[in-house]
Amino acid sequence: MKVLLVEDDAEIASFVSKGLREAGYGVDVALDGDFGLERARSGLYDIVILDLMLPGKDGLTVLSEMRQADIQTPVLILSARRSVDDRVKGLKAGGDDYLVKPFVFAELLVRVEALIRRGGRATAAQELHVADLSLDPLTRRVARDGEDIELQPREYALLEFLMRNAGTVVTKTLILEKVWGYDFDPQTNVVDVLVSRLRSRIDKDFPVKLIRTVRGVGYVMDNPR
Amino acid sequence: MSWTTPGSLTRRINVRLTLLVTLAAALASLAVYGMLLASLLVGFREQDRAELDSRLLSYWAAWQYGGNEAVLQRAAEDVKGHGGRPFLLILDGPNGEMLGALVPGGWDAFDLENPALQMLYPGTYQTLKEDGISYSLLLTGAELDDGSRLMVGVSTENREFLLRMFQRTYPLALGVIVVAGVLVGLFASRRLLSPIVSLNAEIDRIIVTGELGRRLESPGTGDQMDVLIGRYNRLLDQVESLIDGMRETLDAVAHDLRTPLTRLRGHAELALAKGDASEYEEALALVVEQTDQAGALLSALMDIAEAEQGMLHLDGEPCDLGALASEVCDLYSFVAEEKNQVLQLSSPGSIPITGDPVRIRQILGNLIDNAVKYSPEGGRVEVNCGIGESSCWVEVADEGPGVPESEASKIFDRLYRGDRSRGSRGLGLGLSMVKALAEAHGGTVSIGTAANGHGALFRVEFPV
Repeated sequence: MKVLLVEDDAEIASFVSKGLREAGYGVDVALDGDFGLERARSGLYDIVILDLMLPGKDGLTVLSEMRQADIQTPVLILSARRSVDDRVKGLKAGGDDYLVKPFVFAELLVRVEALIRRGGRATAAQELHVADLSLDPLTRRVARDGEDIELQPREYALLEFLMRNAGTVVTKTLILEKVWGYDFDPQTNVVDVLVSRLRSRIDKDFPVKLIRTVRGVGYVMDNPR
Repeated sequence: MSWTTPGSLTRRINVRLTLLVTLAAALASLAVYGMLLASLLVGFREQDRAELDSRLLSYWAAWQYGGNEAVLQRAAEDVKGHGGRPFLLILDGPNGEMLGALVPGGWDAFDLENPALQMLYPGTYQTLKEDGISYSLLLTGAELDDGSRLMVGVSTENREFLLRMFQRTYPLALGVIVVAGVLVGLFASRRLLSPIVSLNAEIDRIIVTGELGRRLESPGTGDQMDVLIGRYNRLLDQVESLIDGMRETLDAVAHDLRTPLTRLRGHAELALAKGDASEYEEALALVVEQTDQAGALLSALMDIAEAEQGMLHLDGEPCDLGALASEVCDLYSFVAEEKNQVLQLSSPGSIPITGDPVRIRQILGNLIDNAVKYSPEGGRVEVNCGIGESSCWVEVADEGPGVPESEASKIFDRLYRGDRSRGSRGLGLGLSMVKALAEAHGGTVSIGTAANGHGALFRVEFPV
């Protein structure tokens, strides 16, 4: 999987590409818009991560010129501007997702994976497994160690999201977005509340805990063994 | 690039205005002079002709009454009695012989033998000019019944004199007019431009000192200058309030970023001093948390500042207040359940409203978050929506300690948190955010006491 990162801040570019490489991606970095556009036109990439404020061509121009040239590579927009207006502009210009700086790297990773997956194999109907926990998206049946577990709709939505991203840390913002459809942070602990409920359903009675808190970042579901 | 200083600019306008006024005055006076001269010329000529006519008639009458003698006698009487304007009289016999003549001194230099004079009859006139004489003679004549000829004439001396005087005084008058024009032009333009001059000076002062406190005094004339000064003052008001707002925001940001920064530094420093791996991990986690908090704080402050200064971009679209309230209640129901609270929404169904759904959710979220936070375990939070003729509203009532009247006015201030709430989670920005966002939607926020008699009741009203 190849990622093109168009970002003019060398330090951000370095930590993002380092993180992506550790996650198994090949990363090319372009430090300005013109070079970014040139690389993107090659069509070699599975995803482009594009900063909006760039020297040379700005991000929105790069994006629309890419789309005009019929380069349909998914684009994740990075921006220091956080207004709804900018998000709408970015998505209208052909962006596929939007992440506001400063961002949590884990969230970037989840969004990158989601965008790449979208273009690839259909996994929606596949049964999900993490350790002895299973979730069947078709029947909405959840079981751990062979025992059925009853979940409320939100709990189910959260569990499905965690399991689909098993092994990856998901942030509270992402959970709010995926489970409630909120695209801003209402500054509430509602995510913690929902997670603690889900824990009481799937983890409380079992010695092996599958949902782990990553302090300051979010939650991750993985098999600790 | 050419650069004009304000001084030279006004000087130039001054000069232009003055020149314009002077030129206009000079041209007008020239026109008046021309018209006056023309009417004087015509007037004098008519006057001379009328005098000739009356003399001719009078001597003609004398001749019919008393013949040549009577004419000459009347003429002699006229010269004596009249004593005024000299005149010429010539009486020729039927055969051209001279019967009598009255020629004032110097007039014999004119060619009185001119044959054209023999052709004169009443109503026709002949002008005689002679080189070296500044005036001319105007004559008329008549043939008498017996073939004699009677001729009378006057000189244009008086008229020439008057016209010469007039011509001589005109340049003087023109000079006076030009000087007056210059003076009036300078005075008027200075008066007219004085507001601009002071405006320029004021703007220079602001550029140099950056101090916006002073306002220009309006001349109160109600003209464009007055309007300009008024606009300038209003512009300054706006700029000043924006700058004040930004300064306040900056103060608030500085104040509130210092806290997470201090904590950040403290945790990191402690961990470094101890130098063991688990300390590092703990410190790093705290650092990340504090960083997030600082980021959230920054966003909230910027939102409030933008909303308060009217710079927030609202995506106004038709939405449903009832549906938004139900969404937000759904979000917070988990938090309420955690405290065994009942979060109850009552809404008359669809409440159409034009607004930014994200911002309205933010308003509702902040209010409900507060209500859940301040209500005790097992308490009850009620959210009521409604719609009236000119407004729709949402009310959030809790069972918390309420807001004492002394604090009611301060509660919407940025960073204000009542003593009671110190120590609980939150940025202290929630209510000022609610107020700023509601007002950016043209709405209002008010605070009261809930129906249970002690809890707080927040009411947000939007125009419909």
